[in-house]
Amino acid sequence: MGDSNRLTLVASDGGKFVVDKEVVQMSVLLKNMIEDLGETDESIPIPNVTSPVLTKVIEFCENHRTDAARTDGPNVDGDDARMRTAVVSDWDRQFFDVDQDLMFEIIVAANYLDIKSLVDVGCKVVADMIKGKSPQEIRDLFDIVNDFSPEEEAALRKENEWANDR
Amino acid sequence: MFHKSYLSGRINSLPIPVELLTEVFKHLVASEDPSLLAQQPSLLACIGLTRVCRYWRDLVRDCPPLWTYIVVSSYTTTSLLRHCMHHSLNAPQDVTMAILPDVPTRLPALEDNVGRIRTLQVCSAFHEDTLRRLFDKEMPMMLRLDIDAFQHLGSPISDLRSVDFVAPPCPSLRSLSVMFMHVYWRKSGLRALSSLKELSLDDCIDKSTLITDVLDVLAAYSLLEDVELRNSLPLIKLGTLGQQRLVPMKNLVRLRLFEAPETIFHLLSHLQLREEADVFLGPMPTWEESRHDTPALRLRRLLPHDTTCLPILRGAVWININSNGTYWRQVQINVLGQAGGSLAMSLDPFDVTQESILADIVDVFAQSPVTRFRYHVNMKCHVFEEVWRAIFSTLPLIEHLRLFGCGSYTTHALQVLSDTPEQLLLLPSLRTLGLACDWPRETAEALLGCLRSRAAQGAPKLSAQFRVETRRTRLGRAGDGPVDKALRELKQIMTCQELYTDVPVVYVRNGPESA
Repeated sequence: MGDSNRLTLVASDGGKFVVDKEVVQMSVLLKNMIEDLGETDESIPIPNVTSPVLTKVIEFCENHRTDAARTDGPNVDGDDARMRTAVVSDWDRQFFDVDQDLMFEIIVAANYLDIKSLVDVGCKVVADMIKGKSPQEIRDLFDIVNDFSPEEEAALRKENEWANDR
Repeated sequence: MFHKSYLSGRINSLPIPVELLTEVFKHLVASEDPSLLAQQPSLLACIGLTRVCRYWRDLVRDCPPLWTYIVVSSYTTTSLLRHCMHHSLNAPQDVTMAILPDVPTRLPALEDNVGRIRTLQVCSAFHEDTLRRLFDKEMPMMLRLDIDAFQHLGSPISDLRSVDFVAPPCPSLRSLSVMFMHVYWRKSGLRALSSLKELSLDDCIDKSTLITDVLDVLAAYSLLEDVELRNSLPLIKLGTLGQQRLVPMKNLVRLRLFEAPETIFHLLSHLQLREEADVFLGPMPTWEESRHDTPALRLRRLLPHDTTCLPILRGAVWININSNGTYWRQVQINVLGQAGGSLAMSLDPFDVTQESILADIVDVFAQSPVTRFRYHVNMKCHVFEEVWRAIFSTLPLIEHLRLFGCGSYTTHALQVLSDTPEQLLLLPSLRTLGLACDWPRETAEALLGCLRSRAAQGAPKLSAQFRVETRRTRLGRAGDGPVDKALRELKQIMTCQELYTDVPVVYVRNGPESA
């Protein structure tokens, strides 16, 4: 028998990662799987996540393993208040200081593994990248093609005129 | 990774699923700078997103939660309001009314949708008829209401400025915060808000209200968890206490009172708080008191005599008295209870004396199992031996004692701990002693005497910390010759304590550590 406090995750490209159960239990998906499997030496395949992405996800979980569980019940403002007060730490910003492809893959993997704090931080980082930018700057940032026809752009401008209408 | 079809479905977007892109947009809208509220930053952010590409346009338009933050201000056009209402579909609305006089003309767009307003904040001058018109209709989804009527100071008071009118249309209201409005506690309006959990009233006084009215309302509000009342209760003079009545506050977690001392006393004397409740008291002198010399504020004028009302009075384990501010030395008294609750008091330094505070502590907490006591007063004061003797005799379970500050009171306290009146060792459980003072030689000698005396009586060994406050010391600044000389003497004294102290430590603030 191996160490009962650790388990092996297998990434989609075959990479194996031995991690503490406590760490991966930040993932609701893995927590449920561990509870279902009970004491076992079996590896857990993560078919949707590549090794580089899984490495980063584990790094995040390791760093946040000591975070106090958020026990505050929902208040009258619910999720909106959580988003308004969400804070991205310096460590988190450094964590997401990677190329855009990897950044989005981490967010998608966090969503698949159901790691709410990582999803929140990731979405907040992307939101901060968008904040204050013009539509053209946003297109340039994420390499998005402007697929509006000239007529649509004219219609949009006309439609939004009221926004500045005092 | 994921197949493209799982992702947003459009090449011209970000490589993340639709629901995550929506989350990003929600974070963007929610994070806009509140200080720019009047300029509609969240709505303008939404509009900006619709202009990036077709996919984003369709997604943002079809996502009602993105259109739920609405500010009614001079920047808000009727078209904009209607646009938001249209895209938000039936989602609950969070509305801020930073209203200027011409805003009522834009109100019709809002009136048609008041039924789905979830939170409403009125943060500037408002037209009475504006609110009247809004609250004429049912607002079944309203959870939070904040009204700041500050701009109406000096205006003639009328019934229309009472908060009562909000009650009937808002049966689900959970949080009510009001400034500068009349609150008629006796009217049926306020009593109708029985589902309230948070109540904050600031300068909402109504002179005709009686304390019994207030108690009636609090008794009806059985769900209240958080209450803050600031200059909003009727002034009650000593001696007018009516029939004994206790209102159990079963769910109250936090109570903050900024009222006249007698008012605080009478209200607390009629409430039955939980042991776990956190209570903050900021007694404010009345207008009459502020014009005349009044006797020192005694804690007994503030705190109920019956410990059933405020259980921490018999369950305190940690008392901290602090008056260490640089400019305005409010006297802060913080008490922690064994059940987890707390009591904090902020007293005007002109209303109290150090001697009266300590004497009152003895009186009020005599039944409490206090194990930690901290006294930090950074001003010249004299607390004489009889006061310390009373404290140590009344609170015999103290294990950790810290005395920080200026003056001679530390030496008086140490002298009392050295004495053995009738062979009775004071504070027999004392384990750690922290001292900081500006009379290092005198205090060190007193400490030496205290440790020797207690050791001779078989008391447990103490851990002692000793710090010299050099900033105000009469010996001069750190690094000066006289201070160094004093420290050398201290070190010589402290190194003699191997029998009596575990870790003798000498700290020097603003100077080299000399441990």
